Amino acid sequence: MKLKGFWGFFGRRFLLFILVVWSAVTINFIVPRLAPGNPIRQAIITRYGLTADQSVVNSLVIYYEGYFGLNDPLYVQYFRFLKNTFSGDLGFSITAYPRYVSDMILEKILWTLQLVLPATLIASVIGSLLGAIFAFPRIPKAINLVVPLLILFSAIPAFLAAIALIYVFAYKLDLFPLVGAYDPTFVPHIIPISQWASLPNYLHGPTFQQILKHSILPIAALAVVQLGGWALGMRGMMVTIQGEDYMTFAEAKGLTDGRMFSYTVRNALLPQITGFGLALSGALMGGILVESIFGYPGIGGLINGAIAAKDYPVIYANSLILITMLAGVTFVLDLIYPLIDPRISYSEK
Amino acid sequence: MDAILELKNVTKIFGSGHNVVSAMDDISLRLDADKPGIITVAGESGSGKTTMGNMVLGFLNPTSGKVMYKGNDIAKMSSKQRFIFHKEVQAVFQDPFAAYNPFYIVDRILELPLTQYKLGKSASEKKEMIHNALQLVGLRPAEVLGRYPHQLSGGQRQRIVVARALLLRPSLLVADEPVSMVDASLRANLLESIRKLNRDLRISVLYITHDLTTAYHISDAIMILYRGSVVEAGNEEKVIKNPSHPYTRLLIDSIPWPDITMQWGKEPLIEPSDAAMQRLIMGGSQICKFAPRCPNVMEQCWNQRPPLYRVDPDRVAACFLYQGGDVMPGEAMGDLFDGLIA
Amino acid sequence: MTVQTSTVQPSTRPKRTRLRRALLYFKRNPSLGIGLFMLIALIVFTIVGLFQVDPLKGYAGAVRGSQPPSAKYIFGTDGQGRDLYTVAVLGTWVTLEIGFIAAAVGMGLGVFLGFSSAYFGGWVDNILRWVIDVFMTIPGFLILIVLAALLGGRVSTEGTGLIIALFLWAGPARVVRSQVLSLRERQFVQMAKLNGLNDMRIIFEELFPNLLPFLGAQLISAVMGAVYSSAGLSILGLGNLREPQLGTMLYFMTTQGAVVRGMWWWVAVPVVLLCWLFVMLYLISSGMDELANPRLRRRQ
Repeated sequence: MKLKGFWGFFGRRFLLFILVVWSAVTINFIVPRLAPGNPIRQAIITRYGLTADQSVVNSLVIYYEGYFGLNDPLYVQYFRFLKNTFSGDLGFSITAYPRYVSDMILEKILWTLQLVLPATLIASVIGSLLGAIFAFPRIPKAINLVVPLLILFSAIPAFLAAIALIYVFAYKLDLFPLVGAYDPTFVPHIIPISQWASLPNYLHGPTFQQILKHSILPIAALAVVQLGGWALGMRGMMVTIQGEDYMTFAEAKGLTDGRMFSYTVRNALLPQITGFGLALSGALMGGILVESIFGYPGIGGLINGAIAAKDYPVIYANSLILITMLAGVTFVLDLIYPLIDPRISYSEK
Repeated sequence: MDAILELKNVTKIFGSGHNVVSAMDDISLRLDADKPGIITVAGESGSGKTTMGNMVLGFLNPTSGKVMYKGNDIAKMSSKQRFIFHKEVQAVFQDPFAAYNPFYIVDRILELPLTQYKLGKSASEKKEMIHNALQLVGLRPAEVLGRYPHQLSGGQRQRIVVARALLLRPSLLVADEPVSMVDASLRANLLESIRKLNRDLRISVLYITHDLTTAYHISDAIMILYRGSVVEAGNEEKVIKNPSHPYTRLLIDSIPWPDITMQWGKEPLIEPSDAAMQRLIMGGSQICKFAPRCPNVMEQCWNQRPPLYRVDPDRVAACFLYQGGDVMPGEAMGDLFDGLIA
Repeated sequence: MTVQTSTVQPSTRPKRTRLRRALLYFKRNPSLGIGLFMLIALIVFTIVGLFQVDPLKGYAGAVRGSQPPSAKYIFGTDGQGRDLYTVAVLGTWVTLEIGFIAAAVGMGLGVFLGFSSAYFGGWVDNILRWVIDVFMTIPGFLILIVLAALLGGRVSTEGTGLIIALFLWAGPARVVRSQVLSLRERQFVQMAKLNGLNDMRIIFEELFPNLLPFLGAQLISAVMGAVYSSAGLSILGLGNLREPQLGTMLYFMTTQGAVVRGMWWWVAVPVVLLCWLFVMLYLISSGMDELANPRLRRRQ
């Protein structure tokens, strides 16, 4: 019975996923055409000027004219654009020609995920724990004084937390490096994805130490602003569950406080999973800005550089890939959530 | 013989696909303009009685059949006709809080209709009309006017709604469980007010209730619904004192009458089996819907829908126990009731 | 609801009780109280400041650069020669202005579409629901980057607000839709029909007033989202870099190394003021949420 309505549910979620990706692609198609002239051509000429190797400029201009097919009717342009995008061809970077933007982004995204994922995981675990503690009936009142502080943090964007953390911990106390993902003189040993099985060997190496040292502050900035949301959500869920009839019944049966508490925690934790997609999305957006503050070489750094150099294909591809990724995460979380929470079923009203 | 309200073979189906519920299943009824009476529609929750009320008020349209007010199909009224229809068909609802918009003071539901329907010539005349109506239901205007709904008691709120009905003098009043959520001490007062509306102002009343004791006190005729179908109808004294349909018997038997000589709860309660419920769902409206719970169930009940058999000249029951008697077509329900209203 | 209780009493009642009741309410709803207090403090700061500052000193090169706070420059000056006190007094409101333009336009659109979706139902509702879902799933900030990058630094304050508004309407639309749907089922709407009101008057006189606290809370959180977006765009160098707004200050402060140069005042002014704004808006918005939704209140 659990799977009743699964295919309808799956269909609607999948359609939403497709619509989101399609919207992102379409926006990328429309936006460059909103500006007068041909912004990409202008960007190419601005970037390389008249002194540069004209063969590069020419091949770029020709490539992009072919890519966009600006002389064709609009609908032909649109369908070619859709076809190119869905076959994975997101174009060349203007500044780093002849590199594909998709390659550049996939390389950088690992750095970003390396900040965003740990931050979200840490915040969700600690936040939920704090929320559970707040809702424990026999907690000293003093603990509740932490709540306003958490609320305060949850109102503040990560980039402001990042600036404050840099100033205090990196500049004043000199505990952490100010910028970057590794020291400027250090040559990191980046493991290609194909060799990730050997990853544990590197966990003690200098690369790992470098990365760890440089990651702590950005991760802290991204985590601290999420903490309040997780904690308050958990506390709210705990209080609701404590008020349910089945909990009163359990109490009447003479269950110990400890058992009651662990029941409540288990029931309250599940809905927190739905918050994960949203938190990840928020952390990723925050991460782009936090990276700009820290001069971190992830997606944020890439976008920052692309904006400065008017490298439009990179900006467009970035937005498309991130939107697709986040929509995918939401889609998967939506699908598995009813499987783990027995109170939710796939059939919607 | 002008009908003020006429339901012609009305069926209302909610939902679609596998989750279909027929809230009303081929129900006919007629109230005549020159003989205003109080007709009770009774049944348990899910019997379709509130759906019927909402349909008469024009809030719902039937899936098939017609609901007509003074000869006009409510579903097809022009906005002008609908405006007059709303003026003349008023309601008292069950929940005396939900009927008020919490944002406004209670005066609004008294003043607004007077203004909208252009009743009362001057402000002072309107004020006097409101004061009179409030006093008729036993409220002191100074105590309730200018207040917000949450500042009044449930009884006060419900009496204001009744006062509103007095004020507007509709031709038809739908009273949907008007006393079930107010204190017992106030019920008599409210029912008396509703009776007054009927006797003195000659307003027809459709009294919708699950509570047969109050129905017994005020109505002229009764119609008992079960899962959207009429099971028994006619003279309310006969129906209540001497029920003929097994469902009505069960319903009457479960009333705790204030009479120690009457036995209470002697009818057997049958818990329907899953298989029986399955047959009920498969059968749709082509079988007797009470069959799964009926102590007198026969094989025939599963195969055929029982027609309305005339048990008495002024009472019918949809049950094969009375097979052989005269069959009354559903459309004749109006004539049956007509004869009962004095 | 408490707001209503305060208006219930005939106006002959002395004003002091009303004030006391308001204060008592703030004790139960401290978020709203503190948030409004922060707003009043900000207004006082601005009014006092307006008597003291010369607006021109908020632009680059107006005063001597990189000066620490002193009697002459009480908040110091930044590396490009802006008086930070002037920036604080004026820039906070420029920042809020973007927020309010974006939120007002976004909310207007959201309320209209939410009402339409709930009111018309059928295929209009179906299409709008999908569009809302899509807009809620797309992180608007990414599209903002795409749009702003194309427009470069050529966008005015109002323009930035309008672009941000494109991604602010979906949340309010969804909330308004579900609120209208649940309000529509309430019996007082049926009563309004029996009172002879037409659909338009039912929407504006019966439904809309009940939505006001919700809309207020939504508006403030939309302002918050808009301020976040505009500050974020500024950090990426996509804001209006000429106007003395707080986001622009962040951009110059980070790109010109205020931290490593130890210019703590340059760091502190935009960071503290933006934090003030965010906390203030957050508290007011959650306070209004509490006001609008008694169930939330009971839970506390």
